[in-house]
Amino acid sequence: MPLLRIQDLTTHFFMKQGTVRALDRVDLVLNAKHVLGVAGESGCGKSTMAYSIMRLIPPPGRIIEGEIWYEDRDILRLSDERVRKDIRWKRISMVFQGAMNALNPLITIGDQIAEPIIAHKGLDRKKALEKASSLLGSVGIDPARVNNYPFELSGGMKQRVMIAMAMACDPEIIIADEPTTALDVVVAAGIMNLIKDLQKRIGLSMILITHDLSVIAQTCHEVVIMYAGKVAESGDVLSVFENSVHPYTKELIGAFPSIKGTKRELRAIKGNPPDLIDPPPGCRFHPRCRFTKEICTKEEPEFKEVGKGHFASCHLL
Amino acid sequence: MRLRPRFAQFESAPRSAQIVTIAGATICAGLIILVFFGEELVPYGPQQMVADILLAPSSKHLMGTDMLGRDVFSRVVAGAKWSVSVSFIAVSMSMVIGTTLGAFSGYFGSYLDRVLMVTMDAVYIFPSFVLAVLIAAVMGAGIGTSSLAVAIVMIPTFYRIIRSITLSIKESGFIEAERAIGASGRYVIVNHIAPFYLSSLFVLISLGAAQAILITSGLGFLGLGIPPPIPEWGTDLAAGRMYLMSGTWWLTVFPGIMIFLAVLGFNLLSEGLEAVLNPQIRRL
Amino acid sequence: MRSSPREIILRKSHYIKAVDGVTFDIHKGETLGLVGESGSGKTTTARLILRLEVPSDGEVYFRGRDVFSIKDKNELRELRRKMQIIFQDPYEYLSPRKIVHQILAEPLKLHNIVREEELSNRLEEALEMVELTPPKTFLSKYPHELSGGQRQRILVARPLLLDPEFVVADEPVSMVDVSIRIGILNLLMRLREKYDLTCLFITHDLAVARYVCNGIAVMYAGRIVEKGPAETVISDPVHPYCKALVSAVPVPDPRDRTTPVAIGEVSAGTIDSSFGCRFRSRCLSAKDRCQREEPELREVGKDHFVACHLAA
Repeated sequence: MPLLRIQDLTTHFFMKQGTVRALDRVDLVLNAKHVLGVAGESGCGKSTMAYSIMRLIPPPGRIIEGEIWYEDRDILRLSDERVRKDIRWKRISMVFQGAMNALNPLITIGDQIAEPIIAHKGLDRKKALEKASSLLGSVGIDPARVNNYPFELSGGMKQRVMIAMAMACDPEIIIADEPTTALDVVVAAGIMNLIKDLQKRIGLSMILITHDLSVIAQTCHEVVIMYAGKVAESGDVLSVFENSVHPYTKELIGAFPSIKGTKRELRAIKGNPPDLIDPPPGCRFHPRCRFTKEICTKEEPEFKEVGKGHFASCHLL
Repeated sequence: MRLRPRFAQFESAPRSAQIVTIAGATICAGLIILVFFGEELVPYGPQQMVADILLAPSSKHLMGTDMLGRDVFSRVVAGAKWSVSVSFIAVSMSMVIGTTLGAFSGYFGSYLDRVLMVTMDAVYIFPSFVLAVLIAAVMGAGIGTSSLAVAIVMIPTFYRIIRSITLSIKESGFIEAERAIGASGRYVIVNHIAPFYLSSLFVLISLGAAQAILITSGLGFLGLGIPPPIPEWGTDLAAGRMYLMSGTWWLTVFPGIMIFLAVLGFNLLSEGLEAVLNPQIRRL
Repeated sequence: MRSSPREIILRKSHYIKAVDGVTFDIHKGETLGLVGESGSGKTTTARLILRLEVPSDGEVYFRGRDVFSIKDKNELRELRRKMQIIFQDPYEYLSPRKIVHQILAEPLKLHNIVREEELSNRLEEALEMVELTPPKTFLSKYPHELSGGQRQRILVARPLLLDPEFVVADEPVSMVDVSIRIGILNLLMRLREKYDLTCLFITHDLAVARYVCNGIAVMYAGRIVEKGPAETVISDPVHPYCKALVSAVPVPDPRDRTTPVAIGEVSAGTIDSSFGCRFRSRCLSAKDRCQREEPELREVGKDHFVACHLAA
């Protein structure tokens, strides 16, 4: 059942050198109590999408077009005030990229988690700290450490604190932007386990943004593959991985070596990630695609349904 | 030295920086013209006694005449050549010595670095003018000692900045890559680290020139600098002092104005350059 | 809180051994993968092998000669020709003020390998070898005008111009976009084949190590805890850390969802003293002996070695 519905989301950044078309008519659906993976290389627009949902796009960026439907309201049409009071952190919160470095070294982790609780829920400090303690417990940190300072924690623990902070006001949706980059493989696996666990226990709905398809394969229910600011393919994770339709999806999946299965030579995706100020005309993937036809260089393909809940935008369909 | 990227930086610098740089550059350019073409521009020789003594400024003698009947204007213009040249020789010496020592000190470290740092700090802390006076007093007045005194005083500034730049660039990845392919320390410094000195050197040289002119004039004023009858601004200023009481202002004011303009010009230029090149320096 | 190894090694009182008693052989033509997390000592090991750092103890034998015993400058230069490194960071490791032509010409000039007339040809060949075509357009570019993947290829081309026998690849694809990685890995494997190179491949990514290497040595806290043929170490890990590591690597297959083996968290700020197994504070099966005695590498299978008291 859809919880968050994004339609035609378009966000551009107006820079001196030109306009960066970071997101172009992106459609996406997050189902309740599911984990939606958003995958793509750097520059494909996945972080921009997260910030657009949170309405945190800084100038010179602007959301130009689109609708984000949540609880019968279009988030993009609400006033800043309303978004700040009702939505941000209370209903939808976020774990930012490189979050471990976002902790204030001079304030205890308890106080940092308590801060949004005090601000948004009006609890006094004592009660807020109690809640912070119990949040630490739910993310796998000893609740007694509520008075620790960030330097007393390891990288993985700090990331857990960031997750606790995102959960502070009991949101319905959490967006996690590359939660495991910069973490050791073993620690990262612990974090992903935590995310899966929280999601099952509390019924959180999550949007997981990452470039690592393996992580998505292991944790997500649905996945959106993005390329150059547009959605290449989306659908439930089995369909997208096993019945991929878009050439980029197939190549991307094929670009991840695995520790299991027979060892075989993998094929590289030719070419380079595109320039978003001046993207290729027609289908943005066409310079790197093995199956390019003439129409691909001229017309942008439509985002069509190719199976139940499975969409892709490619002329070859 | 590629100038095109520098122009681009100039264009993108804030207005105030551009104005200051141009103002400074104009004054300095004026001085340089005086240095090279001064002799053509003046009506009389600086040593020539051409008129009555102590004449007030007039159309014939734009800045009047001094106590020996020499044309002050001619002396002041000729003085530019001396003050500026001596300053530049001194700054060049400082730059070469300070930069070389700073580069090796920063790159190789260890005992050499320790010893040099301590020595340079000692010189640096000493008030520059006092030190120059001491050196000149000990070695005796003259052109040579003047330049030397000024040079010594300015070495630590070059040393410290170049050393600091070297230390920070040394840690960069591409420097390690050089070591990996077998480059020697000297090669790395000259070919890979030195390009980063340029921006700072522009600034340091202008600043150094200003300081050098001031110190040279100061030494001259105290009688420890370039000896008469060479038309040095400071010396002339000192000589003219005793005539002030009787209302003969032109002997001190004009050399004074020249010192002021020269120092101002170089200071403005160095300030402007620093503002323009700043992002580059800060990137270090 | 980590200082450079030299600092650590020179400090008198407390010291942490960044690399401790690491011993391994690499045979000609082999590629050994050195796998470990940040802080495991793998990068330091690589730097020591190439004599970019100075060890407190131990030897590195290249073709039978101890690398650290070479005093003569010319001999050292010769050694540098034969033992090279491909660095990890394509942003920091290319001089920002030089064009590609200068960057690539430098090793050739330093070692007087090529005559002036042949230089351009040699450079163009090198660019073609790393698939940067047409080569002429790349020669006049600055690093900042190139993409990350293109810069990484320059980092690959440069050391190979010296025609080395042994190459260390220090996480050559970790800072490069996902879609570009395989391209660079395939390139490295082709070049390895073509030039008959012996390699030490450093990475934190087991899947990449499996793709590229014949053998794998896993490092933890400065020691090798397990080593053996790549397939063996991955399919049948013995050391508790390796078991956890292998189970933690996500597989790009939604039908194969595994739960990683749990191990204890690292607690920040504690310095593991030198007694006992370094992994004991995180190991769920730690016994008494593990607290007192540091385990040695012991053979547990064909060419398969493990440093764990529970394995023997």
